[in-house]
Order: sequence, then C-alpha cells, then structure tokens
Amino acid sequence: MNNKLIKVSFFLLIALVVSFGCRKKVNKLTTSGWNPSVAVPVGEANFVISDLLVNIDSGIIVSPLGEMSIEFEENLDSVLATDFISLDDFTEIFDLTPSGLVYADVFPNGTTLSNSANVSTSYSAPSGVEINTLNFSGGTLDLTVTSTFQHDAVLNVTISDLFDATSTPIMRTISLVYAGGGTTTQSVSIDLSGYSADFTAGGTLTNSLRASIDVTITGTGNPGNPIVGNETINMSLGLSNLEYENLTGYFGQDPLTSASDSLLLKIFQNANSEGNIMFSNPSLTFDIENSFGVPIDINFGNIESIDSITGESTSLVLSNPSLSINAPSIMGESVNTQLTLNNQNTTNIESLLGVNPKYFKYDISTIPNPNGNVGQLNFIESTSKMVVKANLNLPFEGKAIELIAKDTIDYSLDGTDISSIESLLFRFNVDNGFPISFNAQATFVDENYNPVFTLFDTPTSVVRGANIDADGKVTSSVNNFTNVTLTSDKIQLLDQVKHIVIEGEVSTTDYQNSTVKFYDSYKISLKLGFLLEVKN
Amino acid sequence: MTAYLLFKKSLFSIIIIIGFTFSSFAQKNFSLYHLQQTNQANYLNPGFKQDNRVYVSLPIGFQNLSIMNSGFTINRATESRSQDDSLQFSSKLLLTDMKDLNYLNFEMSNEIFGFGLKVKNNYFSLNVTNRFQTRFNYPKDLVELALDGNGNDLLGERASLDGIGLNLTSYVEYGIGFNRDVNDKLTVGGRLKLLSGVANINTVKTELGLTTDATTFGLTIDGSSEINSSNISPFSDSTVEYNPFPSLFNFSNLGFGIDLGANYTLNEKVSFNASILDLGVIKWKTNVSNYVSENINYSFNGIDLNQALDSVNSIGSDLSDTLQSVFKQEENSNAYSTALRTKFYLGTKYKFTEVFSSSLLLYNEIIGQKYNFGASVSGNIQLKKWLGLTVNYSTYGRSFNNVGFGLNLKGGPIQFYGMTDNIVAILSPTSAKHVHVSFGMSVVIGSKKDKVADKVKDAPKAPKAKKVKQVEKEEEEVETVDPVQTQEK
Repeated sequence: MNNKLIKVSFFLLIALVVSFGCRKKVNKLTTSGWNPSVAVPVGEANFVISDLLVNIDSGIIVSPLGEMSIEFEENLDSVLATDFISLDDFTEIFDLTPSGLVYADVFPNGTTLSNSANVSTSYSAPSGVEINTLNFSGGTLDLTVTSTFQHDAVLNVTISDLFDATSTPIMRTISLVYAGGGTTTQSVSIDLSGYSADFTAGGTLTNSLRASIDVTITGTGNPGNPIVGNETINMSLGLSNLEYENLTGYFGQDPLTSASDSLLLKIFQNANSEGNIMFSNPSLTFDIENSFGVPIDINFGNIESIDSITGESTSLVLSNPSLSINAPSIMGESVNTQLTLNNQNTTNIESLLGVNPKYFKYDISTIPNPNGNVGQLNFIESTSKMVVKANLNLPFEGKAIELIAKDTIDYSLDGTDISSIESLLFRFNVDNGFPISFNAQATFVDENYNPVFTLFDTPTSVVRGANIDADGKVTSSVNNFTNVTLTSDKIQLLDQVKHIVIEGEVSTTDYQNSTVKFYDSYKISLKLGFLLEVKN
Repeated sequence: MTAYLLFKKSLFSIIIIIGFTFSSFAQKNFSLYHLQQTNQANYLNPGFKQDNRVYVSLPIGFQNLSIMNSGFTINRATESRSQDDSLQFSSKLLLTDMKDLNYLNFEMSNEIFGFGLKVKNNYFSLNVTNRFQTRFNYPKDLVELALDGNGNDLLGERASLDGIGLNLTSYVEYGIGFNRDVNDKLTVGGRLKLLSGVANINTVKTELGLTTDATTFGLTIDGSSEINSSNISPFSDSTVEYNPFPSLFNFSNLGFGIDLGANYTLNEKVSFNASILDLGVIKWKTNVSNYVSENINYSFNGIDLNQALDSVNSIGSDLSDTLQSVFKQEENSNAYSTALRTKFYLGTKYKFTEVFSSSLLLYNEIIGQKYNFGASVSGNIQLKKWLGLTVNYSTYGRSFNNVGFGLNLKGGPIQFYGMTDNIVAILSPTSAKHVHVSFGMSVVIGSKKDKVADKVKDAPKAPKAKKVKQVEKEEEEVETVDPVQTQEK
C-alpha cells in the first residue's frame, strides 16, 4: 500500500514535470510582431466667418441683426479748391504822362506839372471764370513807377476796389527822386493777406479792379533841368502769388475731373473660371462730399467688371448715367450726395458680379454749372473740396454653384525615415455651421507635375453644408468626418512627390432651390487627428 | 526614429523581464508548511508541535525568495513566426490570459538569527528577520496600450489604469515566539513581533483612465491618486541625506505584529491546523513624502490650431504649463501607517502510515484592498529520521501549474532544508508565472522523534499495531522526563 502510493506520487510528479518541460526556445525570441496603432489628436480650431475673411479684405460689415456683408471701398477722386480755381499772376501798366509836354531848356526848380488818372484793370481769371469778390489769404500787389523825367515826381495811388481789414481802400504815395541818369524807378509792394477785393466795378463788371492815380512832377535842378518833351511816367500794377480765402462769382463749365480706375476684389482671387457665384443683393454706392458752392453734375461713363480669368468685361446698364451733386448754400458747409445702384435701379448688377469678377472698373467725370450762368453766385473757399467714393457692398446672400478653387503647395519628405509606418490615417472632423459644402481632391505630383497618386479615388465631401431654413439662414450645423488614408503603397510613393495640388469645389447648401445668408454667428469647428499604424 | 527604436527595444526588454520573473509571494510557502518537521515551519504556523529541544539557525538562516507575475507566461504570449521557427510576441495571446488587474510580486526574507528552545511542553523562540516585499499592480489595459496602442481595441474605450501602483515595504522583524502543547491533541502558539521599518511605498489609491475618442481621437485623462512613501526620496533626490543602516534597528518607523497558530490532532490519522500571520501595522515617520492628486479630468484635443496659425513658438510651453496645472499634486509629510500583509493558513493532514502522509492546505492573503487565495495538496514522506520529502501541487494567483518539492536532510545536529513551490519554473521557465525558492541550515539538538525512531528500531519484532502502541506509550513517557536525563538513559 505504502509503496504503491509512493510510486503513484512520483509518477505523477514526473508526468507533470515532463508535461511542463515542453517549453519554447526563448533564445529564438524576436522583436517582431509588435504593430501598435496610435491615435493622436493633432489639434483643433474654431473659426467664425471674420476669421476666414481676415486675409481677404478688411471691410466686413455686420448689421445689428448679424447679417454680414463685405464692402470694397475706394476713393475714386478728390477735387480741391486749387484744382477748381487757381489765380494766375497779373500785371497791367498804366501811362501817367501829363499831356502837352513841350521842350523847355529849363523847367525851373520848384515848378510843378500834374496829371490825374482813373484806371481800371481787367484781371485775367481762369477760362470762363468770372470773379465777383475775393478775400485774399496771400499774394502781393506790386506798384512800380518808372519815369524818364529829369525831375522829382510824387504819385498818390488809391485802389478803390482793394480793401484792408477795416474796409479802407489801398492808398499809397510813391516818391521818385531824380538822381541823374535817364530813368528813375520806384516800387511799392503790398502783402494782400487779409485784404479783400471787389471785382465788380460797382456791380457792373467782373474781374475788374479800379484805381485813381495823381501824379505831380516838380522841377529839379538849379536853375532847373530841362524838359525834352518825350518823357514818360507810368505805373505797373502787378498781382502775384495770389491765394484766396474764398471767392465768389461764376466759375464756368470746365470739367472738374475725369477719372478712370479699377477696384480689386480679392475675395475671388483664387477662383477659376469654373462654377458660378451669385450675390442676391449687391449694391454700388457713390458717396460724394461737396463743399463747393457750385452746381455740379457727375457722369458715369462706364462701370464694368472684368473677369479675372477670361478678361471679359460686363458693363453695368444705367438708366441715367448723370447725377446732380448737392451744393452747399453758404460758405463753410459741406453736403453729401449718394447714389446707390442696385438691382432696383439697374438691370444687370447681379450678373456684373456673377462669375469670377476680380476687378471692378469705372470712369467718371464732373461738370460744374451744367446749366450755365443762371445768375446764382458760385463760391469757393480755400478748404473746399469734392470727394467721390465708391462703395461696393456684397451682402453675403446668394448662392455658389460648384465654384472651383485650386492651390498648389510644395512638399518634400526631406529625408524623413518612414519605413516603420504601415499606414497613416488623417481624420478631419468638421462641425460646419456655414451653409457651404466643400468637395476636395488632392493630387500628389512629381517635379514635372505628373500625378503620382491621388488622395481620394474621387473628389470627396470634406465639409457638408449646414442646414438652412426658408430664408437661407442656418438652423443647425452638420458634422462630418473624413478619413484620409495613406496606405503603405502610397507611403512608399511619397519619395517621388514634390507638390500637392489641392482642388476644391464649393457650393452653397441646396443651391438648386435656395439662396443662403451669412450671419456673424456662424462658425466652423475643425478637429484633426491621426491614426498611425507602426509595422515591425 | 532612433528614439522609436530605443523605445521599442526597451519595451521588449521589459516584457522579457516580466515574463521571466515568475514567483510566489509573501510568506506563502506551501512546501515548507507541508514539511512540518522543519523548525522554520513554525514561521508559518506557530502552533506546530515542536520536536527539537534546541535549534539555532546558523550558519545560514532561513532564506526565502519568491517572485510572481500573475499576468502571463512567455509560452502563452508568443507564437511561431510563419517564415521561420523564431518566436514572436503576440499581443492578442499575451492579453488573452490577463485579468483586468495583474501584479508582479517580489518578496525576499532573510533570517538573520533564529533560536528555539523547548522546555517541557513549552517552546520559546527568537528570530531576527529581514523582510522585503514589493508588488507592482499593472492593469491589462496598460499592457494593451503599450503593445497595441490606443488605436485598436481601445479606440472609443476607456483604457482603465485603475489600481496601477507600486507597494513596497522593507523592514526588520524582531520576534519572540511561544508554543505550548496544551494536551495530547492540541498545540497552540504565537509570536509577537517588533518591527523596524526601513522604507515604504504605499499606493493608497489610483484611479486613472485614458479615453480615446473614436471619432476625433481626442484624449481624456481622468482619475485621482494617493501615494505615500517613506525613505524613498533619498533615491530620487540627491540632496536628501539618508543612511539606511540605523533604520534596521532604531525603530524610527515602529511597527508591531502578531502570528497565531494551532494544531489539533483528531486521532492518530487525522489532524487539523490553522494559523494567522502578520496581523499588525507599521507607522512610517521618517522622510515621509505623500502625494495626492484629486479628480483629474483633462481632455486634450490637440494643439490650438488658431494659435498655431499665428505662432508656434509658445505652443509647447503653453501645453507644458497646462499639463503641470492639471496634474498638480499636493505634497505633505504627514506620518502614515500601513498594515502588514495578513495571511491565513487552514490545513488538514492525513497520516496513511508513519512514513507517508497527505495534506490539504488552503491559503488566504490580504494585501491592502486585494485578496488572494491559494490551495495546495501534498504527499509527505518521512523515509528516515534524516530524510523528509514533500511533493505538492498548488494553485495561487491565477497560476495553476505549480508543482512543489521540498527536502529536509539531517546529518547529526545539522539540518539542511531546501524547497520550492514550483519546480516547473526551473524546468520550464517560459511556462511559469510563479517561482519560489527557500533554503537554510540549522543546528538542531534533541530531536524527540530520533529517539523514538531509535526505540522502534531497537524494539523486538512484534506485530506492527502493537509496536506502534508501544512506541506511543514510550513516547508519552519520554515527554515526561528531563531531556538531559533522557539523553543519559
């Protein structure tokens, strides 16, 4: 019995030991067979519409209701007072020689010879300009007397239409002292700052200045120099460097300006000719600020958009290409005039902005006093100006139909060892609150832009448009994730890739039936992660 | 890529090391328990009847080493490669056997000094023993994260790292034991232990999870933790001065423990025994560093791309600041207590003959909030007075292929013993989760059984039953006389 138990026990022990002795050869253990997959979030981003447009243009407008629009504003033209009326220099010479001069050997010392004259200038204003009154802010009046008499002379000059600040006419006495020789000259200069002028000759003329001059020639020498008989004495009246504080009159009909320029619409600069975009309610507003006291008409010669791809132009059809600009009634005022062109007063403004416009071109001209001189005085101040601004307003309301955007980025593996990567999956998780969908394809190309492989078999919906209501406003965002898988065979081809051509097709939600509106509350959330499978 | 390869090799090495570190645990020592004629079995049940009058554990005291990895074995984690006969790791195979929470245990005890003296029915003992216990709990999901990554089965799931942590205790035990034969059937005993703590790491709580969002791959980390430590900072902070030697006996980290046991002989064939070990605590006071993190819940969805579009310069520092803020720990140096790892043994023994007996043993162990169960069945042989053997089969810690073997040899006063709870681990290390080795040498004087055996040997030939009765009678007489006088007879 005892021996049997012992034997059985040892038999069982040996059997157990032998059974467990069937061990594996640990010295043949390899490191292969470890193929982990690592899921890593790369990053997340949240964008509102202003973030997306920040590099496009800065003129994002948000209405109190949150409706968004983009404005492209351009200062088309500016007309300053000096551009309108600039006063030229002017000189006129008056002969003041006493009449009836006869030869005398001696014109006794102390004997006098007199002459008085009332003269009137005719100031040469710019073409068509008739000046009534003028307040000077600068300028010089030069009175120069020249005498060939061998005697002293005195001139008393009164310019009755030029007044100082106390409304006193200019009066000057000019004395010539004969010192020998043939000609005696004496000049007087008067700074006209603060002076005013009445060019109407008492309400009968324009551009006219009146003066009275008294000349007295006194015998000089001992016993007295002679009078030859052909002596002269005259005075020149010169106006130079004239600057006005303001002036009144009639300023003629010469065109003020004629401008031609173009406006770059950056929002379309990456679009190509495929697809279509339509803004439901675009408007073009001209805003004119005017402080000239002159009736002015502005004429829109041509307003057109130029297709950035094809170069084709489309002209805006206007029912009335002319606009009368409001003018201030008193000096110191500035008034505005606005003209808004939209789909109520034009027939084709939507098509003007329809396909790939990149440049917005315009020609304008302005004409003062379009009705001629009707008796109402024009006025101008030194600070007067007319500024013409154009404002293209594109409310984010409309539709985009398979609009194609394309870009190319450089790529290089740059020696990175990717031999341990079995596959790489990028996941784009987009929660889109914009009523825009985006189908994308990326083509990996070599240095000659020959395709190596494409990211997707067919263009794939990366972003799905948010849901909208009947007014085109987003009611709920739409979540969508896209897997971009680089399989091992594609990874092996990455060495050949030098560029990646990304092409996208953008459409608005339900563009067949609806237009969409954009609000500042819209946002899009992007989460990017990757799943890396390592091979061993 | 170089870093990746280094990481790969390191991970592989760790797996190899874990795979080869089998184990047993604590004072779980089935073979020693079955070899009751060894004095050191008294460490496992202070109620075992002691036959030797004197024992001194010199020159080599009782040495016990056990390691266990509950999660997997090399055999179960590898498969042959299709292109050759080399082995490769299979994460699926490796994970198949794993439970949600697994552990790697290492325990070592060294008897520095042991002494026993029997005076009539009383047995007194002293011992000084160095103990080192460590247990690293590793969740299955941690291994799955390392091997499969978070992009396979764990995608969209919470990788639970709950319970991950390290528990480490090093202390010196000073024990005084007492054992008494209450009557012919019942022996009881106990041991009071004064403990001097050397070092400790106590993972009180770890709840940690990593969830990978199945759609965005976003990572969410949740959880909380509380970790206490004593005399560990000198290993990580060179500015902390620490000499561990005084800790062996200065009782700065004072602890107490008690072992209790009993053995009841129902009849000449059947006996029952039970013990409870290491009821007690240690209070840790020196170089204490406690770390508490509460209610972490942090989601990382990648870098802020809006910010990255502007500038990438500050992204790294911003992320670092965020993580430091999220995973900020509160630190304190409050003293704390840890319980000893309490064990229970419950066994029965059936004596077929004087030479051969069989035992059944149940084992329970409480480690913090964890509970481990083991069982063993053995065949025990006492061939001669100088030779004892035990062969046993045991299961413990989800390890079911443990065949133990123990040997007790005695030559004169010198007793040598060696045993393992899993000899399979030596013969086939790739298939074992668990290995254990104990050995030692003692000077033993005055074995009662030797004398009884001598008397049996010298007795006239008679029917066996009668001889046994005669021996038992004489045995009773021997127990009543003075040991010295008995020697003289």
